[in-house]
Amino acid sequence: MRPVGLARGVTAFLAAWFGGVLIALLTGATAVVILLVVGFVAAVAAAISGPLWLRHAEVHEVRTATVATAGDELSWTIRSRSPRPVHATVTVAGDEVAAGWLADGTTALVGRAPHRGVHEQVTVQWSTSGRMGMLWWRRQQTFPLSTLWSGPAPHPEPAAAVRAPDDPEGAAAPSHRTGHDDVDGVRQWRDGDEVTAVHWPSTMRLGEFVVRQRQRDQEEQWVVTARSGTDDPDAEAARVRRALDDCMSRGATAAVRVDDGPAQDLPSAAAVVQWCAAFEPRPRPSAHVPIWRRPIFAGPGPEPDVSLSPSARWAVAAGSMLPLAMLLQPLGYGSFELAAAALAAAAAAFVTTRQPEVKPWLRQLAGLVAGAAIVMVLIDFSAISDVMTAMRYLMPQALVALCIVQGFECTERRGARVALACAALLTTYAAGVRVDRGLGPMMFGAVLLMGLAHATVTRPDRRRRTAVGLDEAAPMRHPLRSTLPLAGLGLATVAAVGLLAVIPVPQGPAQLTLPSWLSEQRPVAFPGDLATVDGSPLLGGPLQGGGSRTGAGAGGYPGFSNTMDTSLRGDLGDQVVMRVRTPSPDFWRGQTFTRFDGTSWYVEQYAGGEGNEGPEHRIPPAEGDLYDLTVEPDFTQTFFVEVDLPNIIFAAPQAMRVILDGNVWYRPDGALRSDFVLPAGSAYTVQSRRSRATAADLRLASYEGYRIPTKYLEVPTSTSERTRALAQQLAAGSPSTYDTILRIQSWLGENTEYDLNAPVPPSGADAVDHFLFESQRGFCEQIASSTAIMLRTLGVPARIATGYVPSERDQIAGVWISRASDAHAWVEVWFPDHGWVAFDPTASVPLSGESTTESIGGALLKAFGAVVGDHLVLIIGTLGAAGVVIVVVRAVTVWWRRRRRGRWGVLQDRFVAAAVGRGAPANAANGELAEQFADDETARIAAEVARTLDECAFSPSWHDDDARYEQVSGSVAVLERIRSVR
Amino acid sequence: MTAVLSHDQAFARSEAHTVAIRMVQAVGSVLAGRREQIEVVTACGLAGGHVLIEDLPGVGKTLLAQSLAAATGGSFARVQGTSDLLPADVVGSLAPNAEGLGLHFRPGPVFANVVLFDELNRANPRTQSALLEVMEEGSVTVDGESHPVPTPFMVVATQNPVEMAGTYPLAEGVTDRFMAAISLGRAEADEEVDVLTGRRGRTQLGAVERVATLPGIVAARQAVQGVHLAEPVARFAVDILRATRAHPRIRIGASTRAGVAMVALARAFALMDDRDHVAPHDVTRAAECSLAHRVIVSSHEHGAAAEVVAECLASVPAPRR
Repeated sequence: MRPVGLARGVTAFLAAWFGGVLIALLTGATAVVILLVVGFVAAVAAAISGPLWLRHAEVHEVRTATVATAGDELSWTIRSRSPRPVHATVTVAGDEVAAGWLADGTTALVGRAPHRGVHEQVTVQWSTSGRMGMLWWRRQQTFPLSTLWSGPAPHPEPAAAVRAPDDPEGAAAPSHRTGHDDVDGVRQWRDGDEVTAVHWPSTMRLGEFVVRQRQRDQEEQWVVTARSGTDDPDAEAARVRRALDDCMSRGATAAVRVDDGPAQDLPSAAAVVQWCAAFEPRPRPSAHVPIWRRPIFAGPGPEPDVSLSPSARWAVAAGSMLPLAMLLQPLGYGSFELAAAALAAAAAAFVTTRQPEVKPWLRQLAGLVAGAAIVMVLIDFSAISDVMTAMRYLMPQALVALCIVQGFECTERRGARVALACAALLTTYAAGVRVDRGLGPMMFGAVLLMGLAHATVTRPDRRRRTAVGLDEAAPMRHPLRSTLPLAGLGLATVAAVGLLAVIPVPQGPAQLTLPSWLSEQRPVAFPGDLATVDGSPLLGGPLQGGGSRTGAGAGGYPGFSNTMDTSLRGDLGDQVVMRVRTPSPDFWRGQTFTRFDGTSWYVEQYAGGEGNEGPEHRIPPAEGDLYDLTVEPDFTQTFFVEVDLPNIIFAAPQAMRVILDGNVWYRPDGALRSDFVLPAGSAYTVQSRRSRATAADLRLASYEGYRIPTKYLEVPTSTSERTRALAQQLAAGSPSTYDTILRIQSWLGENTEYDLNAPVPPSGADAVDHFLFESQRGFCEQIASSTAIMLRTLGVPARIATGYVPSERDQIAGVWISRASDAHAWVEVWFPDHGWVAFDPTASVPLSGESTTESIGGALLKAFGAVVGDHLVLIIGTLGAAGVVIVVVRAVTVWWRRRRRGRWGVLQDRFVAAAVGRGAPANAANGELAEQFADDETARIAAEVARTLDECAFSPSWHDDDARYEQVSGSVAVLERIRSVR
Repeated sequence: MTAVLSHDQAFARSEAHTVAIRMVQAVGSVLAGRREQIEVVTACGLAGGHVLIEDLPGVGKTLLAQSLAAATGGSFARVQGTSDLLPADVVGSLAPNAEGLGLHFRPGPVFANVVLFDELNRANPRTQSALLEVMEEGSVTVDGESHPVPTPFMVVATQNPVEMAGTYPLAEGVTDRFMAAISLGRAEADEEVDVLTGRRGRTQLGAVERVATLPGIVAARQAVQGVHLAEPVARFAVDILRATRAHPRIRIGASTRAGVAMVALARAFALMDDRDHVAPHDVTRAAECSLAHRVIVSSHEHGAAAEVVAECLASVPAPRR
């Protein structure tokens, strides 16, 4: 058993897979990695399913006629056992004489006779590629053949013939001697007999042509001379055959001699063919081609049949439609463009399935027209200004056009495979750019559709089978038949999850293609200043809370304005604000606040700020950021904006690089702002430097020798004494600042309550004091404010940051989701050597130095486990209901069968199943089925069962009898048990 | 069907069954081994057919026919086929009266219960044809006068393999007259030892027990005809015939007469198995020996016909309950 090669077009799948690797490297999308792993596992499964099938396929015997004429049609009968059809090639002495699909049992392949010679062995190669038809495997065996004499076809020129013994001239051809005197018998008509020789009385009596046999003909003998050592023994043999055939057809006996050798009598036509076949055997050059000289991209390939059935062609079209939709939808195309692409794909299928075939030039023209039309529909040429934009934006459109054009080339299997590979690439690309919830089901559907389409493409076309299955109705009940696909699926799933388990979550997009686009350009009025979502300036100055809980800040959250009143929290909904593709979660910081007046925090006012032209921005370190500028940023996040946001660029702290279409204004306090507001559908990418600080590092930090700007230590005058006292009390005996922070957090956790509806502090009261000692109820802003103020009273630099925290992860797309309600405020504490470190007791974001990277498989399993855990009752209920349905269906089936077939009919079916399970042909009579039970005792039981069943079916004197039924039923049960034991 | 008639039928059937079994035993005591072939020949006798045995000389063809005659207690005659054998030598001829006044019919060797025509294919086609009428009609017509042969009447013809020298191939019309064609084959080694030591074989021919009377045989033949052939089984037989007509390697398929012979043989098989109905495997068993010599196969290879008949049988699903 050895592999013989890839089916044509499978290389396109390989190319698509490597294209997928490229996409995975460029986008860092988890979904692409999942697709690649699934593709890899599927390819491995497709490759090994061939040997698995081939292992159970056996060829037992090859038979054919004994005398034939080279090149004439000849039937080759092959006896084989195979649970699945395999393709066989029959080779005699290097000459391929027959090929076709083998049925399970005996198959007659109509082929031709091999070249001239005496053949005593035949080689059969049988090959299969398993279900998916990717890699072809072949087995080969040589069988003895009952000698096949393959004679030459008669040459038009006969060889020299001499009448023997009394006619030395030999010029006259043998002729018929007519006359009644020499008739001494009759014989069957032979080719060449004259009509006048027909003996009509015998002919009438026997119903077939009979001719008079003349004694003189028998005596007339001709000797044909074969010349030895000619250049072409085949032609010489053909001439000899012609001469001998002429003699035979004239009723003379023929003899042959080689040169001047002795004459040899040839009594029959068969003997003539045999002599000619054996005359001067000629060595035949081997047809073996070394593997390195075989064509790789040309040639027929190992697949016996490369035709594409119309149903397979439409399956390919259906398999590529979902990927088209998957890709076009997130690119912002509407139903018009989707319909146009689907129409083009359907047109391609229509054109390629036309009968008679459309002329190639017409088909290619149609493909070009369709491709151009799609390009016109999809691409807005006015938006392309330079090469880089073209490269970045036109890739998916070019892929879609390629897929459409390739559809017009699907006239045989290679084209279909290339089209499917294009569709696979589209799916991968879509998995790279899509971040929505629908990605998982869509990927599943696309993979399923494409797999089905390829299985349809690969299935042997029944209409084109050349073989005649002689007893195809005898299926081999192989145990693998039912369990193999299920077991294979299970094994493949385990393998895929196992592979995913060792592949870590990708570390974000690589440098090359960092996604960034604005769905709409809405410039802000005053660059560098905050704006509302429509671009109008957000007025600074303290906002009047006045008991209203509705936020006045951009994005509905008060933390996204210049002033944050701690008593306000916007009316935040549940809609998704952003999806962030990133290897691990972090705080997506938008603003930092430094000054506190007792009730509100204020953004530091800078004159103008500094702008930076896009689309790629280098961001210098902000005030207090301590990181090595020579180190490349190592934490990439791509933000996919889902709702209209103001011009705040949310990013993980310590952003070093921002990719955004438009100018970016960076502020010393670390906040980033853009020239444009960020409408829904926009995307931008940020690369940050992650802090490597762990708890141990922070404990060692010491403030000695640092001059800290007073603005980070300022507390409002309204700060109460008991606040300071509480801070002192918590700090007393604490070994480090880090521990003090933890103590403050735990004190807050124990003594205050998280409450979004915390009471509003009375006018003029200090918000921190009110929260800590009066209401003791609050939300993130109160908690963060009080922590910051207490730390400041202890001389620790602290400030407030606002932004979003990621709340959940989409495991398939591999993105973190932030909702409007995930808007948050937290404390940033400055540590020597580490810079600003975020602390937050309410959000579960770990210190970045301590976060661990997960593997894709682990995350998937975890998510799956969570789903199972959430819906345990539903799942158990569904399984139970399915079980009940199966039991009921089975019971109904049994009842129905019994009603339809009667109790003896059911017994008959069971008996047949038991015998067929032991290898009996399914259409044998009962008596023959019984012969399958060879063992003495069971043979007797089986014969008795067969006899009773036949009696039941055919005897006129049959009467039903319960006792007899019980007895036969017991016997059948015995036979069934034997089967299962075996 | 009344109960009494049914009872009578059952009785006749069991009688016939006994006769058949004892005949098989009697022949088996002489002819070494070859149980299956003995059963086929016996079944042919019970079904009123003739048998063609094709095999090499010296495997026991003659002995089989002789012991069959001895077991039935009928008369036995033997004709040796040669190329100069004339029809008159077989069926009989007109000879001058003893008184010398006119001619009277002198019956030939076919006027016996069991006629062994040895080496049928060495006889010329005219003589072969002469046998046709007597096989089909059971009577001989000479000079316009019919002379019925005794009943029961059975021809056991033997044929040398076609490839051997000096043979005339049997015309299809002749072969079609035979209900079954079998090949005896060689006996097992142990059984050959029995022959050489005299425990079996020709030496035992005299000791063959007469198992039935001639009227008993006739009654058994009637019992065979009474074996029930259910509609689905008949349809199965027709399907087999049609399969031979549709098979790519068969030039001319089996005729309806072949079907009649096949079913008659199947009835005999059923009776020998003590059943009142024909089961599908009786039909397949009968088809194996009654179709191969009737179909004309494209290739002239030895055994090709039996092979294609087996393929036809495998392709037709047998009826079942």
